[in-house]
Amino acid sequence: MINIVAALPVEAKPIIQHFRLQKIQGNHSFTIFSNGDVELIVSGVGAIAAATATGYLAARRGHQQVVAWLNIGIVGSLSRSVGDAVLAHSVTDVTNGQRYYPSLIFAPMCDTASVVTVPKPETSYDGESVFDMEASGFYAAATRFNSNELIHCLKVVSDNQHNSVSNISEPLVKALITEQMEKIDQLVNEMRALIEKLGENAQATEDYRVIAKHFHFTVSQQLTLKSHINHWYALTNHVLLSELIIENYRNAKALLAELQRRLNTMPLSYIPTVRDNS
Amino acid sequence: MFSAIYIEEEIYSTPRVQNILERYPTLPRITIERYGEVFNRKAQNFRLQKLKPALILAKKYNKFVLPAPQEYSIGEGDNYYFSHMLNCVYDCRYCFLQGMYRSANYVLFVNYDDFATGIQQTAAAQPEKINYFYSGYDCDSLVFEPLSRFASYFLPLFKDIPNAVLELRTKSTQVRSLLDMEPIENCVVAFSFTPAIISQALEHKVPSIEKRIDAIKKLQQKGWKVGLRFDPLIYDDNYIAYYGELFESVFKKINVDELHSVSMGVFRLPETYFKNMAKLYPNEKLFAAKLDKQQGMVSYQQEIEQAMVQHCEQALLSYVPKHKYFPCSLS
Repeated sequence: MINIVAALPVEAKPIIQHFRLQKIQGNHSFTIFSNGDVELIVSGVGAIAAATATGYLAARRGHQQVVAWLNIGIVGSLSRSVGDAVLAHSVTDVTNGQRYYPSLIFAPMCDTASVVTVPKPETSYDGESVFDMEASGFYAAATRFNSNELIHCLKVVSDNQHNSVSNISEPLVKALITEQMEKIDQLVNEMRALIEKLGENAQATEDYRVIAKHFHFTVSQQLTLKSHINHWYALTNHVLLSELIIENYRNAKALLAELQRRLNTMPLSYIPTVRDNS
Repeated sequence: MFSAIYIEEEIYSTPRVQNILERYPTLPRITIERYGEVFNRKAQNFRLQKLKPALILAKKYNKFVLPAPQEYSIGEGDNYYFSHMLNCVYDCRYCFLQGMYRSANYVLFVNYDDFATGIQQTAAAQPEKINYFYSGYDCDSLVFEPLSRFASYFLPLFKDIPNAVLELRTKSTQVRSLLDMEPIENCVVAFSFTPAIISQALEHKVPSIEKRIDAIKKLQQKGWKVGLRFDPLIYDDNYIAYYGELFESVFKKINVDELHSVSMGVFRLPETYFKNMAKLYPNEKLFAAKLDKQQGMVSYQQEIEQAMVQHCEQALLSYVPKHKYFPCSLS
């Protein structure tokens, strides 16, 4: 699942078209588009709007899932050319000095830059940083739901010392984002690859679902059950539910005790198996 | 090699930092105030960061030398450790670093002079005693040598402190700088080993046993003191055979008479670290079974641990004399 936060409809449009996102119908506080895998929310301008939209999107899916977060939009820069794409290696909120550092654990598909979030359009452009109005709000919110290896800001320069912010038009913004769609796509694919590395065992997930329905598990017991199931599949290829008759146990505690007992009597070998090598 | 380089502003212009930056001209360079703002922040995934850590160049301000438990001793004297670097290029699944730190990024403290002062002062405070200084606690002592020049700096320092012994603990084969200099009496290069099948499963990116043995042979031929560390002992249903093969392959090929020391340690982690590690790697065999929690520590079940220690110790002592063997066990 990839969540994208864009401030303006015109920034969102090329992304919506590229990923074939459909508008989610219903009574929502924000406009949301989705294809089941990529979800995009149009936040409105400003850090608070971006933070709120990020939280809203997180709540839609529940934040148990591993999700990547991307903020895509336009920025101003002193010296970079209009149309240049940059990936944030730091995000700074100029109003409170808060700083965030996205982990760039993949080869950046474009230059990286310090993104500085300002409360209103910046025209004095200072140094090497690029200036936007949403990134810090987005980042502050997103880090509540996932780790920063999966949270990134990709920005496209729309104005600089030679091209005034007042010249920004909807057709220009749409063209700038469209032009960088390949890099945005690359970034999405990098995120997908990282999410896959943290992927859950589907059989373990199903076993948990079946067993958890059968007894009342406290929150602590739920965590223990998940852990035991994962450990089961670390040690064996045998499907748990074909070896454990749930009905034989009176309650969650008894089932967990039996699982622990079986884990401790299972063979433990580091000789690689076909599953280890896959 | 690194995803990016973060540099504390205060040390940006120092020669050591500039030398390092010259080696990586294309990497993103991000200036920071203090390393903790990157290294200690919340919302980091150690497992993902380990795929491509960043390098953080920083200055350490205090606690240059810290006391180490006496149980880790390799001789009569007081024990200390110092950490010029945090985190390791290797990815050993039993390593406590992944449970202790939020970040897998490497932190290199470049103010070696301050560490040197701390070491000199510690040794000078007890001139009648031998003081052991362990350098491989938070990192591998040698793997980053071409970048850090750690051994190149600290070995001449220790040469001039006769009542100090430096242990360089490593799994690497980066011994070129040692082979290029004259050995010093008060340095032990200590290589860690685990049986091959277990190493392949749990010690990611670590050089093969054969390559490490080769490095040992070269060091011994040059005259360096070498130690062996079988730590931690890892349980496998076939551990007796695996450790037997390991001991035979190591002791058959190196000069046992010239060995400085051999130590063995058990697998033991603070419970909080273990929880973090098990969460990062929920499908890891190492965390799946045969473990027990007691008094805030996670270790193998007592009968397993005792059997392993007894057996491996007996096997070890068939190769090395008792006075060179230092069991490492925390009760």
